Amino acid sequence: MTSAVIELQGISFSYPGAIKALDRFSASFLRGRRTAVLGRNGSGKTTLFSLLNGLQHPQSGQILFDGRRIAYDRQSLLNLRQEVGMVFQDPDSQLFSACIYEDISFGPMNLGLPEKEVRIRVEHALAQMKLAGLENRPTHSLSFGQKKRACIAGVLAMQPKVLVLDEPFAGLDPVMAAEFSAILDELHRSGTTLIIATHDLDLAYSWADEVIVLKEGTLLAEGTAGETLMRADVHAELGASPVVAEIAAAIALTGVEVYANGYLPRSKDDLVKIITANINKENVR
Amino acid sequence: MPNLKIDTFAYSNRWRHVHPGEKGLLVLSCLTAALLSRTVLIPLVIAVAMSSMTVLGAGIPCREYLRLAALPALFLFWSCLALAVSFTGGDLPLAHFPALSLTIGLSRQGMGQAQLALTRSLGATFSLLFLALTTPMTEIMALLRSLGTPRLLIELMTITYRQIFIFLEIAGQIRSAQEARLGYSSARNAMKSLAAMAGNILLSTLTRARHNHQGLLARGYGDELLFLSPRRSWNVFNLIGASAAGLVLIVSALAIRP
Repeated sequence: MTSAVIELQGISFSYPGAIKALDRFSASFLRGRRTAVLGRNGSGKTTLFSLLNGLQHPQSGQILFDGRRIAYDRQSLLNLRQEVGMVFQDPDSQLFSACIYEDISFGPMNLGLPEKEVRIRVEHALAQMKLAGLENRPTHSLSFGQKKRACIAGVLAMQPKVLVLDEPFAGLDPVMAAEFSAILDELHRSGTTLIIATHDLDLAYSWADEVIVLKEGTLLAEGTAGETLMRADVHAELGASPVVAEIAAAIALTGVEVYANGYLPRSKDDLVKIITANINKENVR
Repeated sequence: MPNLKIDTFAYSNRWRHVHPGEKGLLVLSCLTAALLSRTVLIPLVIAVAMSSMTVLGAGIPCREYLRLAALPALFLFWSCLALAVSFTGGDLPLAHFPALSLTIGLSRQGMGQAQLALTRSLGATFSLLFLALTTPMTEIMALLRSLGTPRLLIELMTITYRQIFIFLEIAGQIRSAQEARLGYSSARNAMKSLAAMAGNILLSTLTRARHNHQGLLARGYGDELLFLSPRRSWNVFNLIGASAAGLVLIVSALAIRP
């Protein structure tokens, strides 16, 4: 059992003049895991994310990072924001300079690192996000996918332990999405805790280890993706169920063995493998 | 994608990779020489040298260059005409209106002033145009920053420059959406659509400003926009060339008297 890197305990938060965005919300994000936060529009995902690196303060309840309660003075916030990197959905709201090199250097400079170290980190982040050679092109001439990668590079240059991404796959074409997914896998392997917000149930089902499902500012479900996303109340709230799981369950009814280690296949590729393996078996018979 | 001609050239000309400091040194000394000069010769030399460097050296297409240069040149010409023309007689009367007791003419002194002002301004304008067409804005800002321009000014420039393109993109999208619904089919409609667009952009700008601020805070923004610019290497020959040319121009501008 891994420990929680971020723990929210009884968080309530409301915007001025609005109903509660989060109401006595508690959940944990496990260290080194990939967690997907699911919920309908207005369920509180964005608010939850802005609490994770101190952009908003909870009105009640507490947030623990590495077991310690988050403080909101300048230095503590700077430390928190170094540890918890935040990638926004719209790259244009994150990239402030027309030169991505300058933009990526922003975070490390705020950490007060010496110039030499900042330059090393910028070069490294550029290479990591496959942006080398683009640092001399103006931001406004980059594609959406490139801008998105530039945003992540700007956050990775701060070397966060936790990376929080709001709808990271929205607006990416399938090729870019696959590349992006590979980048996330690499970060996962290097031990970074990944937290994403998404509407895409299929994506969450195939990608995430853990899921947190929000309903109108409260916690509806929390647990492993394989189990939680098969719950009927989760399907009812999100208005969908994972297609791969649904097909696999239907095939299982025909008597074909689809369970691996007692679980349904998680991705389209796994499902296709199971189906073709069965067809081959039939043919041999 | 929004596209501004000067900006595009600045990123794609042949002298894009020359150190901005080298270009800046040359331009600064040309500006100084043009403004110090007391004869038309030096500013003319500068204007010709700068425009040919922009076209032949940096490879900006001649037609485009002429179009870009024509606007300020025409403007300067008209303003200098006002200097040359006198309404109180002058040395070379052109027209006389006895009824109004008005004589329009050219004054010798005014002509001299106009010539000098025109050539000086042309030299200065073409120098700046050279910098604008060969050096991306971010590099000019980095140069200004290293020369000690106040922080606030640079921060404003950095953010404004980036936002211009976001603004153009949003405005373009709204315009297309309006046009698709015949929003510009008549002068009346066009006016209404434009007003709606302006209101819409104002609101989205405020939202965007809030998001941008959050984006900066999330990466540890304090009260200063800290960042590093990419490093460029100096070229000794360019540097010597620029300083020598600059020195010669400034010295001759000071030495040559009318």
